Amino acid sequence: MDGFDMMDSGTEGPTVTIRKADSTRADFVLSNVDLAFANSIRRIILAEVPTLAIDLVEVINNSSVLPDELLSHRLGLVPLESSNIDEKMLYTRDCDCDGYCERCSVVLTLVAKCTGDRNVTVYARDLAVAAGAQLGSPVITDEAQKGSIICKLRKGQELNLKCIAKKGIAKEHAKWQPCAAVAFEYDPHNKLKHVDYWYETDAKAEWPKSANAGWEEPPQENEPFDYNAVPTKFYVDVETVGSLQPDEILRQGIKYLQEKLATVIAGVQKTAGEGAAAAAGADVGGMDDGYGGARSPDMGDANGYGRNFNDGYVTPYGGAGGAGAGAQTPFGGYGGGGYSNGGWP
Amino acid sequence: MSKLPPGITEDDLYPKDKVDPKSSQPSFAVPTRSFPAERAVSFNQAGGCSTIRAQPWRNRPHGFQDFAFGTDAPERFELFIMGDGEEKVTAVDETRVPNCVTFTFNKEDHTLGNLLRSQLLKDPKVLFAGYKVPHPLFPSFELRVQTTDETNPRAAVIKAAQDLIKDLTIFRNNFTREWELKKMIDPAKEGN
Ligand SMILES: [Zn+2]
Repeated sequence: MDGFDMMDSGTEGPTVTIRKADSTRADFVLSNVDLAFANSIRRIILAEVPTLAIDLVEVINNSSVLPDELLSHRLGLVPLESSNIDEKMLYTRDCDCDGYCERCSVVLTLVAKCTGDRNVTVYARDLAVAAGAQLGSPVITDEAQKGSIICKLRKGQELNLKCIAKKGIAKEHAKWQPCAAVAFEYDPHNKLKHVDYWYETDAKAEWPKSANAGWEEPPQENEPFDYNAVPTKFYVDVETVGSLQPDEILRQGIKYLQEKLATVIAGVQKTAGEGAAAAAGADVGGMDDGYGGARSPDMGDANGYGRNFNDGYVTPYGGAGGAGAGAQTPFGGYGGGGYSNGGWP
Repeated sequence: MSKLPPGITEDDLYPKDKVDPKSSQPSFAVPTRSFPAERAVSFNQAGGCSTIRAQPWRNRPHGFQDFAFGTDAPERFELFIMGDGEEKVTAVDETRVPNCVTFTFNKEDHTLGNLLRSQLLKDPKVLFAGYKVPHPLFPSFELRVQTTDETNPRAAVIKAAQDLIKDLTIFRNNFTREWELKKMIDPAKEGN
């Protein structure tokens, strides 16, 4: 169970084999983990890694055929360069400002007008980032260096918009998603029978082989079903929208998952303080069995966690709270010191 | 005045002891409310200027609560931002089962719930671990843990979280190492 011994030996713990790595893709095989672990990684990089996206649009002039709301929606979906956003920007809700400021937003302006007889197409490249902004330039990956289309203008139509981009996560709105898609597969030969294939006459003949089938042994003829088997090898392909590099998305995802778990530790320790107090109360009432006061010493004695309870946690069994000073915080001081908030060796 | 059927008078329709519906006030209050000025935020030489959120159905200032018509979903950020006075974790000790606690995690979902459940089940001192999301519209999950009397559910959950943090660190280190190697071996691919 000790992760740090595993790391030293290099044989245990999550193992990664990268199959394809470029600026928009990370295709890797994750092994020696369980399904829940792999799926939580997938979920967190899809929904909880922050990026930058246009959130407010001040419409000074819009005489295009698109209504203001539709135009704003399209602008929101334009990917904006967001690397190292945690070091460069705050969430507006955590900022002292009233509305938005340069610490929690990036202002982009879009000014376009059609004066000739030919219609003008407005592209993402026409969004001008405010001078001095550390991030927020529109992501442009196409050969012509234009970016995505925002709208088209006929003769005499014009746009004059001030777009305020903010930091956010995809749980609030999909425009903050750093990943366009996360492919996720395990057990390509369906040995575990988690999939029930539909077929006309023969499932094997009718279904194409998975692209990952070559990475695992196909089942033997008449191989008995191993009902104890669990998936351990996961084929993950992270495809970005361009706002973050794929390796940064993964490292950020891991960081936020670790922060979640640190919050769990802090939160559960907090309930232990309350629970012990309640249990002590129950003990006065003469309750000896079950989860009564008699149990509470376990918390302090049997495992070393009792010392980390909140300040002021004192039980009749000895002041665990006394040891509160210098206790482990959620973000540091685990055995081996493997986890620190935000810093990547 | 339209014609009435034969034998029916105006009095039959609107008896004198009842209130004439034509002149009465409605018995219910007509719901009225003033919207904040979303359009016409300010005026300049270019004419009317409006501020629009790039999330059309959320097109109103933050914090403007609107349940007046009972059709509006809560703000999306309520899925992950703790409200005032809310606790991340609350615990209820199961009184009828020894060493059993049900934790409720607020503003969390399957990402954390399933991960903890799965890690807890690897612990030989854990007799039971299961989680559920009681209702899909409420961002919380319940985690029920029962342990042997060698430990207790709180310690088991803390240990599970610590082990996961360590595993994630190993994952991050292995991934970063492999990524750098891949880039060294095949730098041409970088920037594609
Ligand atoms: Zn600000």
